[in-house]
Amino acid sequence: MTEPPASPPPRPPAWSERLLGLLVPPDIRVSLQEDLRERFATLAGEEGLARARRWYLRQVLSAARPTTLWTLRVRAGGPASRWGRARWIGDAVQDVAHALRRTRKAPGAAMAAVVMLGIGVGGGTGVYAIHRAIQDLTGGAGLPDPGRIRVAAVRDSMGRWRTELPARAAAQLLEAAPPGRASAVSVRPRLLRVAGTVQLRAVAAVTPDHFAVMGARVALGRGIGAEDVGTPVVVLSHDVWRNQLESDPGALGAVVHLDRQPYTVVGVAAENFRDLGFVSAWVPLDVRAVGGAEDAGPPAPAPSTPPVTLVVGPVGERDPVLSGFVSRVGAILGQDPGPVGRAARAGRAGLVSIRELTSTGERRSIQAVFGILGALSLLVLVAASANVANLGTAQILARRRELALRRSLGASRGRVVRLVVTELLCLGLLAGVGAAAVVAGLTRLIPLWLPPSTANVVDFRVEIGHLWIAVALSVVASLLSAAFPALRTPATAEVLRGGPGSSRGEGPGRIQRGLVVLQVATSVLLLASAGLLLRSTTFLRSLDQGLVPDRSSVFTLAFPEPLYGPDDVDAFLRTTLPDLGTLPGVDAAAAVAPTPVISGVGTRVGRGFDEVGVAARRLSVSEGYFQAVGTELVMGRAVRRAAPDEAVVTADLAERLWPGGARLGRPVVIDGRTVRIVGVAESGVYGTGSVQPHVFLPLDPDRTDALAVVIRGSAGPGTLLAAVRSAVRELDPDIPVNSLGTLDDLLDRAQVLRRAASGLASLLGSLAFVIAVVGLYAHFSHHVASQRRAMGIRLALGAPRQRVLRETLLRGLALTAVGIGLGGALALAAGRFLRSLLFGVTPSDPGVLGSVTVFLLVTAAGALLAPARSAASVEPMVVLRED
Amino acid sequence: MGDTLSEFEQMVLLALLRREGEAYGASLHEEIHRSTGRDVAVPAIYVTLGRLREKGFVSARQEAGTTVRGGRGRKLFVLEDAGREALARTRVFLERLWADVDLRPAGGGP
Repeated sequence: MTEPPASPPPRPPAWSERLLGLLVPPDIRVSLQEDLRERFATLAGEEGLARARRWYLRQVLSAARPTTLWTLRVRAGGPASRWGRARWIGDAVQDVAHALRRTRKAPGAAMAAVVMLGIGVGGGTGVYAIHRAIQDLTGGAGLPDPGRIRVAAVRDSMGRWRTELPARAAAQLLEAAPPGRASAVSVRPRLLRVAGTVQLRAVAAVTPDHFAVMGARVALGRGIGAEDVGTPVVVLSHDVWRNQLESDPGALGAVVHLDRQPYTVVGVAAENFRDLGFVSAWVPLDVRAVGGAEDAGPPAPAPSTPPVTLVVGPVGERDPVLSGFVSRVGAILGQDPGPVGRAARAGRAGLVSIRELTSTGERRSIQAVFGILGALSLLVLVAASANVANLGTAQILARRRELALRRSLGASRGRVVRLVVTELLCLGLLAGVGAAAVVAGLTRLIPLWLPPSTANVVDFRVEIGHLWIAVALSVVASLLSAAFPALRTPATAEVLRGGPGSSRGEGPGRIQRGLVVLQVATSVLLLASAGLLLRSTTFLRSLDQGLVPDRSSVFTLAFPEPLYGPDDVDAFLRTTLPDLGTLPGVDAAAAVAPTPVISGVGTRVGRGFDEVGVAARRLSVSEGYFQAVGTELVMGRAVRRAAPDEAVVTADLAERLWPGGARLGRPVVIDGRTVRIVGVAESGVYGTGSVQPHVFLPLDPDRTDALAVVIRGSAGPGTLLAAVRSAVRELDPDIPVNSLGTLDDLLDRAQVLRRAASGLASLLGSLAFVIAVVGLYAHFSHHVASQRRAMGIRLALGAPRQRVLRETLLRGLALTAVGIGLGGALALAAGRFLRSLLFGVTPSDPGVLGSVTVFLLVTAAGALLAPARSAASVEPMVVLRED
Repeated sequence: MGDTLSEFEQMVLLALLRREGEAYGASLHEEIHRSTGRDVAVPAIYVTLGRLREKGFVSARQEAGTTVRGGRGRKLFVLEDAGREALARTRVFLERLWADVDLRPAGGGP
């Protein structure tokens, strides 16, 4: 008769039982497991479940101790057939223990291998991480799959995509789109007050399906849903949540203010999700209401209907649901009476990938540069692996007696190979740790090269995934680089065949010499690229910028609608700005929109309405602007505030419009209206590589909601920021004021890509250089060690020591020269790809290539000196007695 | 056989003697814990029992399944004569070594 169990006894966690099952051989597994379960149940009853679990885990770990494992599997386990399929564990434990003993015996070689691989793999992974961060920044919007998000857009007359649609057109598109596959977004700057701090942030009003359409997730709470339309709720970005709410898990339900109106937090977006343009908060949008886009929050006066962007996603390769809609986008937008409709009717409308929307030229150069750097970092890895290969070969050659002994004692060929491979695997794992450290260091170092404004935006944190990649790569690299060449050397092959393992001297072979050449070539290529980029940066800064940047500081001010209007801008220009000009240490103060150097509105300037005109950047400026930025007026005068039909053009633009002729007083057509030239300003490159035509118009308060203020004087940006803030506070305490640094900083920002690339190339170049020098040293030390007998005989036969020294040195320099030649050729070839980033210097610049050559030859000679001297100091009698 | 036993082997064999007829992994662990206060590892007991079996000091038999352990029987261990002899021999060795040993410090004291 069986008793019904009252309640099942407590059982150990399933995973720990599985772990135990893996560790112990099958013949005792069941008994041991049952015994442990019995004791577990007793202990759980006496001392509680938590204690019992800890006790069980200790028991399992005790089974994992090498000695226990060894006895359980190998000795107590009996004949091999009974060990079952997990027999390798015992062997592996033994192999690992052996490998660790070997590593401890030769710590120098092991450390060298670890450092080499750590540098190689870490550099590569670091470049990859940074590349991803920048690529993400320039077109990923922090989405898992940005390639599948499309945006409705029209091409303007300049050939650029415009995604901002009139609200009515967007509403019609949304109506026509398959349900749940499209959403409307309206991003505009608003004053966001969180935890007492007011900042001007991009806030997106979105229709309910937006998060799903973008494929965006939330970290907390939920996204904007259908039930939110018409209610004052907000989803915050992860950044705002982290930085301003200190990642408070109880943030849901908190109240924040948008343009002084209270909103309740219902969610926090997933990390990195920035939507279309660094969005800090999302609120509901009812695009169908009142025929236009309006924030469905509390009633707020909307003086004008903000434009709306229509997003469609996720789009697959073949998507029957969407294809019907795609074909109708042009027709629907064509109904718009404005410029969007005109472009659509001209066949310039469509759905564009979100990646396409970022300025394509910039993205392409970023991808090209980081593609090259990625390839170069791979080369650094190859060079590092080459060093490890040399070290591995040398180690195995040094151990051929030991390996031969193992073979003669009955160890199988596979066993000896496994011993060597395990040793290298252990090295690889250690190197992975080194690599992870290099990645972590790099991602912290890179932002230091970038201007502060960029460094804040780009997220350079190390992802755990990258570290795993680093570890995995170093394991693979150590295996590939060391195991195969090492096992292929003739001496090892002889040992593996069961031969005696000749003790005759055997120098590094052709493969090893080839690897050294490759290392030198890599470092030449990288150092030359870094040199070229550095020369370009210096050259660009030496060009005439069109302004005098050193004593001007730049601040930004915003007057976001609907809180502020043209009157506020006008009040600032009439009262606050002149006050700023009278501050002590200030020579001139002026306002400009948008911010010069880093942004500018593209326009065309023509002599008449029937002309296409010349492409130029348009800046709207207040009186005194030219004085504040240090731009000289070549002729005429500056524009006046009350004269909207006046314009100043740069000399290059004037020359293209009226070659050699008179300019002042001439009419030109800009943005569909005629203005008169009242002055000509000096030309400049504005941080780029070529002269940038500019046209300056008077600042119009009606068309401005954000300004840059340029202040020229002896005071620095820090001191001035406080002064500007206090002056603006008198006008309105909520107007956000931020510092962009000096004009010099802005010019640097224009060079950010070139600087980042040259910084990374310099770093990789230095790493490759270290690897090459160590490689040369190791190669020739090994060479000399293996040739001691031959050298001893030569010296005994009367060869002068000087000649032995010279020959070793020359042999090394010859190898270096071959590497330099190869690296030079590679650098010339790679120069073609760098050309878009090079200014004032050609890829074959003799100065750069010459200095790299001299530098490498001198350091190579230094690295070779020690092995060469040790070759020359061989004592013939000692060497000959050794055998 | 002139083998002496290690401390842990002695512990396992003595526990086995004390639980004669009911000696299996869990009961041996419990016995050692109860008598010495030491929480030894059950896998270590198995390792030791394996070694003692190799030396012929103990033997094992599989008990028929019961409802208590999910239908699986216990693996019961029995002390063999050789094991008894080894225990007795070790005890004699140790007693001889202990005879006339004074643990008090050389300078006298209590």
